[in-house]
Amino acid sequence: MNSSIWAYIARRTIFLIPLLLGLSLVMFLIVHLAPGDPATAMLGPQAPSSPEFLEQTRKNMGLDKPLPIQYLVWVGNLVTGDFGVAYSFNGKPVLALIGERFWGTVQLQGISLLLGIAIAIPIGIVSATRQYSVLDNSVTVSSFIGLALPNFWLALLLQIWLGVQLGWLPTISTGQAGEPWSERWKFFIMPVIVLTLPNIAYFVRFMRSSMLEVINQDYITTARAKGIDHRGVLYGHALRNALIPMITVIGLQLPRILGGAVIIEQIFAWPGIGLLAWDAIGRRDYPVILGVTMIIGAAIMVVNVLVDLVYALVDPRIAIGGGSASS
Amino acid sequence: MSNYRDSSGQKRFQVLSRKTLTKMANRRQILAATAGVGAASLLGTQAFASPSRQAAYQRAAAQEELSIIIGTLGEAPTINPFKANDSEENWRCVQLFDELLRIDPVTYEPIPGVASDFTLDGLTLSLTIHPDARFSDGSDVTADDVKFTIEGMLNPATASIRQAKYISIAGAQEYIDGSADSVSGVTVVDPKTVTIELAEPDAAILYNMRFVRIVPKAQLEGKDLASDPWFQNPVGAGPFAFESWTTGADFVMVRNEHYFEANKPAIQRVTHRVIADAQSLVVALLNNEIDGSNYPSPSGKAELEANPDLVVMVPPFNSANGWMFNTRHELLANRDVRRGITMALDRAQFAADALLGLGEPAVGPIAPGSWAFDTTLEPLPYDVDAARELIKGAGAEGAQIKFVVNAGNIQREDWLIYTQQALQEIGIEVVPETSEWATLVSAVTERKEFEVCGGDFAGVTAEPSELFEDFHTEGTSNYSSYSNPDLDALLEQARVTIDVEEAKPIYAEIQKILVEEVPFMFAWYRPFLHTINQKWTGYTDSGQEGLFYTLKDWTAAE
Repeated sequence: MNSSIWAYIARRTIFLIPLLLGLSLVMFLIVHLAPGDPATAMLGPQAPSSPEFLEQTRKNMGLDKPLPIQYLVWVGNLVTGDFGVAYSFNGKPVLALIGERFWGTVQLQGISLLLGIAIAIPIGIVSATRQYSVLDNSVTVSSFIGLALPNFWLALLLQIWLGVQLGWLPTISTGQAGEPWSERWKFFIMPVIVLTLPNIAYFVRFMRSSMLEVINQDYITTARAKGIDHRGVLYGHALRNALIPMITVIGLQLPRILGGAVIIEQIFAWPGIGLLAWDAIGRRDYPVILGVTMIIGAAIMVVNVLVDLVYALVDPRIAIGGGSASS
Repeated sequence: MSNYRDSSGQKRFQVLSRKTLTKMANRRQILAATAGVGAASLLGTQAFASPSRQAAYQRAAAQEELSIIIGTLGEAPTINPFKANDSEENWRCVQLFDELLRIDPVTYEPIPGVASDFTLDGLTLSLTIHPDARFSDGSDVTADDVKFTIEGMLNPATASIRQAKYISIAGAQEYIDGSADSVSGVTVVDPKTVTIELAEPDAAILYNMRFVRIVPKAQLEGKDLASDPWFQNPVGAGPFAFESWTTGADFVMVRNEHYFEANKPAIQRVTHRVIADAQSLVVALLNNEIDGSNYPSPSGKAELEANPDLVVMVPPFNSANGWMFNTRHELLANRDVRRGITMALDRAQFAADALLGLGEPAVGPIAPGSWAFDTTLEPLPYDVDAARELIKGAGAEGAQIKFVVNAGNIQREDWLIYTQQALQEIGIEVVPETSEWATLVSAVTERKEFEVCGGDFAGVTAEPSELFEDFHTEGTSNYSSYSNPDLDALLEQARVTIDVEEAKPIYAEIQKILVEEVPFMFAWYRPFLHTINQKWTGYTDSGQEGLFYTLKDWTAAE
C-alpha cells in the first residue's frame, strides 16, 4: 500500500471526530426531546404524583440539571471512556451491558451475513448467465418469496417443526453459553436460517442484476470477440466488475450486524444489542440508549471507511488519496 | 391481638401485570400465535406433541442438584428492594430478601414472615424477628436492620415509591421533613424485637409490612439506597441468594444455606430466564426447555393443555381493564356522559369475543377474591337506548372524545376499536389513539393530559385501602381528578377501620359509588395461563402473586 492510502485513512479517521460529536449532540437531543420521561417510566402509573417526589427521582438520575450541562457532563465522561450507568438493567455500567450482548449479536448476524453472501453470489452469477431460463425464473420467484416471508412467522414455524415436533433443536437460545460447542451449535441453526434466508434473497437480486449489467457491456463483447472462452470472460472480466456494486450493498447490510434483529432476538430469546436498545427505549433509559447509539454509530462510520478502502482494492479505477480519479 | 384486616392486592403487582401485558399481547405476538397455530396444522396434527427427548437439552446439572428454570416475559429492571416496582422485580426481591410479614397467596391475609410473631394492638405493632433469621452471608437479622430498612424507605433521598405506605408511623413525617434524625415510632426493643407506634390507625399497615424487605444495616449504612452498586450483588435473608444476573437473559439464585425456616428450600438453583415473546414461552414450555411460567400466550392454551407434561392453571382474576375518564374534561365532568358511555358498551360481549374465551367481564375496582369485594355489586346495565337518552340529555350528541390506549397491547386495542364502534350508536365520535407506553404514563400521571385512557391506571386492587389514592380528591394517583365529598369521607373512614367486618359495608358503599359515578369503567379481566411442568409439586397458585411466590416450599414430584 502506498503512503497516499495511509494519508487517506488518517484523514478519514480524523474526520470521524466531528462526525461522532455531531452524532452525540443529535442523539442526545432526540432522546431528551422524545415524549415520555425516565422518572415516570420507572415509577409507573401508581407512583405518587407529587412534584417533589418526581423531582427527587430525577435528581437521583442526574436529570435535574439544565440540558446543556447534562450534555457536557455526558460528553465529557464519554471522552474518558465512561458511558455512564444504566437507570435500570441492575444499574450496571453501560459498557458492561453492551459487552454482555455484543458477541452474541455479532456471532449470529455475522454468520448469517457471510452465509448469505456465500450462497447468494454463485446463485446470482448462474442466474444472470442463464437469464430467463427455468433456473433463473425459479431463483427470481424464490428470492421474492424469501424477501416476502415474515421472519417471525418462519421462526415460529421452525420452532414448532424442528423443536417441538421433531425434537431436533432447542427453541430458546438463552442458556447456550453454558453448553459445550458440541451442543452449542444447535442453538444457532434456527436463528441463522431465519436471518440468512432474506439475506440470500436480497443479495441474489443484486448479484444477478449487477452481473447482467456487466455482461451486456461492450468490453465483454470485445473480450468474447478476442476469443476468450466463456469462463474466462465470466470470471476473469465480468465477475470482478460485478462485485463492485455488491460491496456497497453488503456494506449497507453491515450495520445490521451490530444493530441486531429485535424480533428474532425476542422469539429465540437470543439477548443481543437490538433487544437491549429496544428495552432501553421502552424504559427511557437514556444512558443505555445513548451508549448503544454511539457505539453502533462509531462502528458504522469505521465500517464505511473500510468499505471505501475495499473499493480501491477491488476496482483499480478508483484511486485513493485525492489523485486523479480515473483515466 | 386485635382483629386485623387481610389486605391484599397492592397495585404494584397489577401495574407489573400491565407492563407485562403490554409486552405479552402486542399485535405481532398475536399474529405470531395465529401463525403458529396455522403452522401447526400445516405440519400435522401432532405438531404440538412434546417428545421427552428434548430433555437432552436440559441443564446437565439436573442430576446433581435440584434446579428450576422459570420463564418470564419482561425483565426486572432492578433488584433493589427500595426501588422494586413491577411484578418481576417484586418476585425477585421476595426470593432474595423475604418479607417481614408475608401475605397468604390465596386469601391475601398477612402471615408471619421474617417476623415469626406479630401483634397489632390499637396503634402498636409488635414484631418478633425469627431467632434464626440470618442473611445469606451468615450474619444475624436484627431489629436494627428492620429499623434501618423502614427508615430507608421513608428517607426522601431514596425516592422509594413506598414512602407513603409508612407515613402513618409516629415520627415518620418529622423524619421526612428532616426535623428528626430517626423515626421515633420505630423502636428497637431488643436485637430481635421491634415495635412500631402509629400516629393514626392504619388498616393497611400489616399488609405493608410485606414491603419491608430487610437489608443489612452494617453493609449499607451511609450508602445511597437509590443506586449504590451494592444492589447489583445484594445480600438478603430470603430463601435464595443472589448468584448472577446477565441482563436480557438469566437471573440466577442459589439456595440460601443460612435460611431461617426449619424446612430449607429443596430447590438449590433458580434460573429466572427472560423469553421476551409470549408465544416463544409456549414453545419453550412444550419443548421442556423451561419448567414453568406465568406468561405463556393465552392463545397457546389448547397446545399447553394437550401436553401431558404440563399443568395449566387459569389463576383468579385480579386486575380489571376498562376506561378511565378525565373528569376535568368539560363533557366528561358530567356523570351522565360517563354513564351513557358505560351503558353503551357490552362488556359481556367483548369478554366473550375478544379475550380468547378466557377473560371475563369485570364489575368493580376490588379483586373478586378479596374480602372487601362486594358480591352483590351490579354493573350499570348494557342499554343502548337509555345510553342514547343520557348522551342526548347531556347535550353530548355528536361530541368528539379522544380515547387512548398503549400501543401494542392487542386486547386494549381491540377494546378501543370495539368502543369506537359501539359509541357510534349513541352519537359519540371516538377519536382513537394509541400511544407508546412510557409516553402515555408520563402524559397521564404527570400532566393528566388525556380525555379517556385505557388500562388500569386506577385499576382493581386487592388491598382496598389503596382506593384512597386512586379516587380520593387528595389521592396521589387520582388521575381522573375525580372529587366526591361523600366518597372522600367513606375512603377516609375505611382507611382507619381496622376491623374487617366493620370495613366491609364501607367498601360495599365505596364500590357502589364508583360503579354509579363511573370515574373509571371497570370492564374486563385479562386472562393469564400459569403453566408448570408436572414434575414439580408443592406450589400454590395466586392471582396476584403468580405461581412462584412460594418457591421455597416447592419440591420435585416423585
